[in-house]
Amino acid sequence: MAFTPSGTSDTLIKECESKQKLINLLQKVYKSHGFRQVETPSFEYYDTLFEFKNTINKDSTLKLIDKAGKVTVLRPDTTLPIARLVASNYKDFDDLLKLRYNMQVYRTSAKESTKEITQSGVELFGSNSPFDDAEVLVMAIESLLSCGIDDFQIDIGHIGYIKAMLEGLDDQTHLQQLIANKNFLALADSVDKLNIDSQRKDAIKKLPNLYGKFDEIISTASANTQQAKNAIESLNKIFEVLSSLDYAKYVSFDLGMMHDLNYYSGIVFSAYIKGYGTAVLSGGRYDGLIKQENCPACRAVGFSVYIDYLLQAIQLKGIELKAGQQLDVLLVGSDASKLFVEASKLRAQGKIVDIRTGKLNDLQIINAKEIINLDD
Amino acid sequence: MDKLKIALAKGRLAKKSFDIFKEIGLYDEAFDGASRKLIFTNETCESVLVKASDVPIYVERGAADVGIVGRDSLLESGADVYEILDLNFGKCKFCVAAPKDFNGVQGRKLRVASKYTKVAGAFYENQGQQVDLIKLEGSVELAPIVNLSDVIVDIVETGSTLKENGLVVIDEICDISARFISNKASFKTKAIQIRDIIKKLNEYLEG
Repeated sequence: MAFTPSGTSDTLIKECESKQKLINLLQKVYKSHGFRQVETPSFEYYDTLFEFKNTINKDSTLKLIDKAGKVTVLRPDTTLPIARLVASNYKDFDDLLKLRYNMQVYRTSAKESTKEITQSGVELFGSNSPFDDAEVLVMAIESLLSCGIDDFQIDIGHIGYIKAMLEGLDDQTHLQQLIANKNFLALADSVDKLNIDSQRKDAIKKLPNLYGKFDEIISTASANTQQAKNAIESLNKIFEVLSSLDYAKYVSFDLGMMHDLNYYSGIVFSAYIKGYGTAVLSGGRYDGLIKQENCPACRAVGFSVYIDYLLQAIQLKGIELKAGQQLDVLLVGSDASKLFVEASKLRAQGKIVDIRTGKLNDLQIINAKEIINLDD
Repeated sequence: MDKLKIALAKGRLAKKSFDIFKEIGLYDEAFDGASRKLIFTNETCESVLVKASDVPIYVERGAADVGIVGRDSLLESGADVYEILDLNFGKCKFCVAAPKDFNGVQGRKLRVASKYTKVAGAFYENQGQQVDLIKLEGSVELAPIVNLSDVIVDIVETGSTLKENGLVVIDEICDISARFISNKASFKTKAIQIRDIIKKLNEYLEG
């Protein structure tokens, strides 16, 4: 039998210290922007969480039945529970609510029966201004920079633009999927079957190709409807902010981008590190996910860092995250009381101290700067 | 600039993939089928030759930025990659085949043998039929003959292998051909190089 259920694994000393260090670096950035930490329970009521329609794939959630016979679900993502937290606790809050978190997420798939991943991120509630979109993008950039990475790219799209282009057509979900998967050929086939003029057909067929640098894409994108114009206008404002911070070099644009989670309504973005095959961060705007009037949760934007992927990318790059914890002193001795007293004195000086009354066998894992033997 | 990493499927697609690369000016050497060489490098790219079913994995994980692989391997792997172009070669079909005198089964589950159990499973699931799936690694045509299964799901190119073993196609599942696929991150981080290849491949396909 395996040590732990398929899809899960232990995090051992060194890896755990690197992981903790990474989480601290990210949280420090979020904190410096004034974001406050919250936590939600690991269990949520299935019905409450899935009140929000069109959200995550219900089949990928891990469900349990509580004593009262109600179905609960292990937190399947971070955005939904935090939006739920805001709707339940801050529904009359009349200002911006800036929250940060570090939580585990649980999913199940055909490949792995249980999968546990750590996500660290932010959510900004109560505004639908592009400047708040810009703020979370700035934080996304700064959080990657804070880990010592600079060859990353944040790719930004806008759901409003795709929706505007597909407005009124049959089977939009299918078309969205083809666009999101860059499936040029199948998209062309499907679009040719639609009963619309050829100009519009060409515009839709071009969607998956609208990716690249700002000057190539956004400033030249066609916008025939108000919704499309608004989307381009938002992206312009965001780019202006990023340029003023000299962060423009970290971003690219993709007007054909969609996310797997289909609750997004405005900007969407993903961060990629050169040489690493998976996005390490993703986020976007999800206005209207919670349909409570006047609740700050109606308007929200945020992102999540996939800690496990980011850690792997950093380690593969050979970037050293300074060890989170090293012993200053290892105290050895046969008199336990003496050991406790000495250790307590050293700890009062701010030192990290471990004590041993017995033999020392594996000094490598213990990794102490100094070893003091009280019996000598 | 970093080299573009390309994964190519060994076997029936390899030669044609290299021919196309030569045609669009990516490589100047011709493919030598007898050689055991697995890595081909020049100034702009590095190609690796791997088992067809591994190509989607190399690309999904980013060990290769792009790849050329049959749609059969792509569907069976379920890999999360961009399937960008149909390269229009290596054409064949996913089919259900059975012995000539096969008349369906009564009162029990249909036994289906295949190398492609995911594709076969999805096909029968869509039809609302529960079947007994048997995963085999090769010589699938043998299964109905030795009564291991009732039917098989396999790729069919000319149908001659089926004929020689007394089998006939009773259902077509979907068309297959070679596809150009890309890792989702590389598609953005190596956008210029990949866009260039797509452009050249498109010109090749149209020309």
